[in-house]
Amino acid sequence: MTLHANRRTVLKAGVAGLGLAGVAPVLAACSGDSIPGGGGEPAAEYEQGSAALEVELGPEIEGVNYPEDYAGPRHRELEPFGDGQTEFSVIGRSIPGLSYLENYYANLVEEKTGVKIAYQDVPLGEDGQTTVNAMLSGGDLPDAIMCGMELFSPSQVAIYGEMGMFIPVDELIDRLAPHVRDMFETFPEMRSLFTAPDGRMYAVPSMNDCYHCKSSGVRTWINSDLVPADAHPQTLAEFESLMTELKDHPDRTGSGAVVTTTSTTVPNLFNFFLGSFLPVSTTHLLLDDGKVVWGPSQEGYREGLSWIQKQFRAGLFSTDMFALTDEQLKRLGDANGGPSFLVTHGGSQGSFTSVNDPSQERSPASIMVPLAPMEGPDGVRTCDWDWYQIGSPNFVITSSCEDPETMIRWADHQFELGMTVAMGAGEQGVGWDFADEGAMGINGAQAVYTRIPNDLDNQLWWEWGPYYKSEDQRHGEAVPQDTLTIEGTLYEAGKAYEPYRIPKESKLPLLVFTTDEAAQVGEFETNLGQHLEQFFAAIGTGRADVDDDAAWQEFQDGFTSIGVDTFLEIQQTAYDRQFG
Amino acid sequence: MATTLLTPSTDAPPHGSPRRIKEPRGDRVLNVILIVLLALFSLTIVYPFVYIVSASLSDPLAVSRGEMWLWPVGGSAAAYEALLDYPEIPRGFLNSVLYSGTAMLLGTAVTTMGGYALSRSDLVGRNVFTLLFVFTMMFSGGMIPLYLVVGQLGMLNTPWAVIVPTAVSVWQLIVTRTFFQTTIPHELLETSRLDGASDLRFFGQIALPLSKPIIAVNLLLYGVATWNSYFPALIYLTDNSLYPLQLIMRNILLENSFDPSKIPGMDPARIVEMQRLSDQLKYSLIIIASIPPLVAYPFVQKHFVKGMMIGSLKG
Repeated sequence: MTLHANRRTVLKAGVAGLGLAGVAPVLAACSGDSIPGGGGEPAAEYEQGSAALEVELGPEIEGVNYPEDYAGPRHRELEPFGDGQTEFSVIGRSIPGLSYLENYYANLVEEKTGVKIAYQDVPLGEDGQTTVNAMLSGGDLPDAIMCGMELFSPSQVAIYGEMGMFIPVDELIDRLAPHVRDMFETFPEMRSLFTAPDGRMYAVPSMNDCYHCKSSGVRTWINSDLVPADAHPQTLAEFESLMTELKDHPDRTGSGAVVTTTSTTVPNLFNFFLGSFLPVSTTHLLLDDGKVVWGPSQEGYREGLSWIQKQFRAGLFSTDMFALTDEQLKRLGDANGGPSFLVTHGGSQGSFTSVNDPSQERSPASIMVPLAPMEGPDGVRTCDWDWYQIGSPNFVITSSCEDPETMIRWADHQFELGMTVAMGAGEQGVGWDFADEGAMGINGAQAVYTRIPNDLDNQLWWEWGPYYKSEDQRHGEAVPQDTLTIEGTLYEAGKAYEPYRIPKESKLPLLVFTTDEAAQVGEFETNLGQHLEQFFAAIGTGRADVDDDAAWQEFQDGFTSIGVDTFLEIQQTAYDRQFG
Repeated sequence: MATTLLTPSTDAPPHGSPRRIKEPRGDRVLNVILIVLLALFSLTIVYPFVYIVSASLSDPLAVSRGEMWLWPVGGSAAAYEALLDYPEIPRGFLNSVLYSGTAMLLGTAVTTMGGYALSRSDLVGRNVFTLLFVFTMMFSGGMIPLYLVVGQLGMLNTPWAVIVPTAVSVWQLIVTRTFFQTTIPHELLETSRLDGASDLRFFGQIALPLSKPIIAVNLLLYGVATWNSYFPALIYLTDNSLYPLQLIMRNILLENSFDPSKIPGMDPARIVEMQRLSDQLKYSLIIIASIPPLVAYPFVQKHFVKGMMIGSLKG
């Protein structure tokens, strides 16, 4: 047993180190013969977009109702190109109920491309990263990896790519992937966001331009049982007096916290309120005229924290939030008679209730409604907006692949409209169909396709592979009344925040770092974040006082001694390289 | 052990006998304290289990609201029926049974033979071997070298990857060795030799029959360790039809812990879908996964205490 325990701890430590920072040393330790083609030759220079297209887009299929100015995938003829014999090994993810052999979408892809795939499944989440890192380090490479849903960050893709484990896909795309190229032409950022420091692209990026996700980091909800829609506070002063008045209201469920959230989302809740003092961002990094700046050191931050501190002292913000778990918050949300809090943070209603069904009138999911950003004392009214969250690196081809051209075309076919929809909704006619003229999409415009409420066991897979969901494509979904989906309510939540979003020039995109930079950035991010959160807890619990100059100075000096200046320099270098 | 501590009077003459020695006051006080402490201690073990059993039979909403604290509320077996909707769950269960069964037999066979060999003082290089084994307890090559070895042995994506690399636990090997050293006297070996028994015969016909407790202990420990492990499966298997139950369970339960604010491009609607599944299945899955060890324990428990106690003496 001791042996087991020992070995497991060692393994765990090894795995933890395999994050961004640990990739290089681990791989370096077993370089040489064990990694096929892992010699680390630098990829040749290539100017993106320069190669001529060799494969034509198929003709468009008539009869699909696109809204005006639709930008996104279109329904086209797809010609199979594979020989149906050669088997390619591709890593996909496993979720309960999915079996690749019988999966409808997997078979549809095979039918439309003529390419035979042997899927290897690895679990979602961090477990999957462990498995894939072991494979990569062990030199046991499949032909391709569907690496969406957090398997690799753009920086990790670039690092593996520059080591020679993943091959550059930019030229292949330009030559052989008309659908992906079409996406690049419509959305040039899909190229720039996923280009490695050496100027090459090592992963086919999938587009997932999720409108409501852009404000989910600061999304805050208010209890509509006590605050009707026409009485939503417009300024922080109104908010304060309203909360004070409702704190002991007889109609309240329980007498618990007025404003609360879980311990991991405290910074998110704070950011929502800080937005009424200065522009803030979930990463705490912002751009000021092309210069990367550290949010917590900007003017207005102290004033904002001072306001938050005042709410804790008045008992409106609950100190419980620094210890609350997800389950405890749900318990408060699911309380008999309606949620027992008045305001809480949540990316979606699922953060605070397990009865997540907005179609039920008395479900906490319909009682809690989005609270729009409010105006601060100096007239500031902003919220974080993740402008650059439009996609992720989702498909890499490894150096073991003998026929990368087939693999790139295999990915490309899935960028077609019908395929992208089928990936998430199964068979046409069973899980979805093209919408009739006049049907309304999520954003109120003409719908492109409509969902059919049906049992879709093993028909689809999730967003780990190649696909093309532009904002118009996502919003082109008509949702029938009786389906259990929160897309509609989340769209409304996005709408409520959009007028106050920070300008695009202020938002720092997710940057692609070199190996050395990535190792440092990871450590800085952790330390700076911890320092910040400790201060949040200190002012929340009264152990520190924002209004005390010495305490504030100490807080700011903490960032300097952790190395915020070096951190900003690295970010600036990476930003200038990628977008300068 | 607990029984002997708590009821020292069982050895005394039957109740009412005039010669019965009264328990000293101090002992009685101590007994009460011990009973209370042990009762509280048992409660901390029993309560979570009862809670999970009840939660698995309750309406998930009542559990989430905190209304269910001991007995099921709004009882239904829906969670257990839902388990069957996922073919990988029964399949994972069978895989786990297969892996633990094999690992149990293989591990016990190797450990008993190895332990016996190491217990014999006339084994050439005995100390060197022991040292080598003990060395692996303190130092490990780490995940990647292990992965490479398993890969080069051609065991990746086969059930063997889950069974062979962890087949022998050095700790159990040493306990087994000590057991043989202390319970099988050297004189027994000499006597058998005089009667003409070979080493093999002595081991098979004399030593083994005298070692039932340690065999039972090994079987149980290997069985439970393999039943509970998911890490080798996670690393070495990429075919979900080979996944053991623990890995499937982990996938389902961990899907509940996605932090939407940290996953770019992952939309909250997906997370909600995962949470629904997880909320529905988590308790019933835990119950299903605990049944086999629960069934096995009572049969082995009596040997367990005996075997562990003897084996743990210094050789």
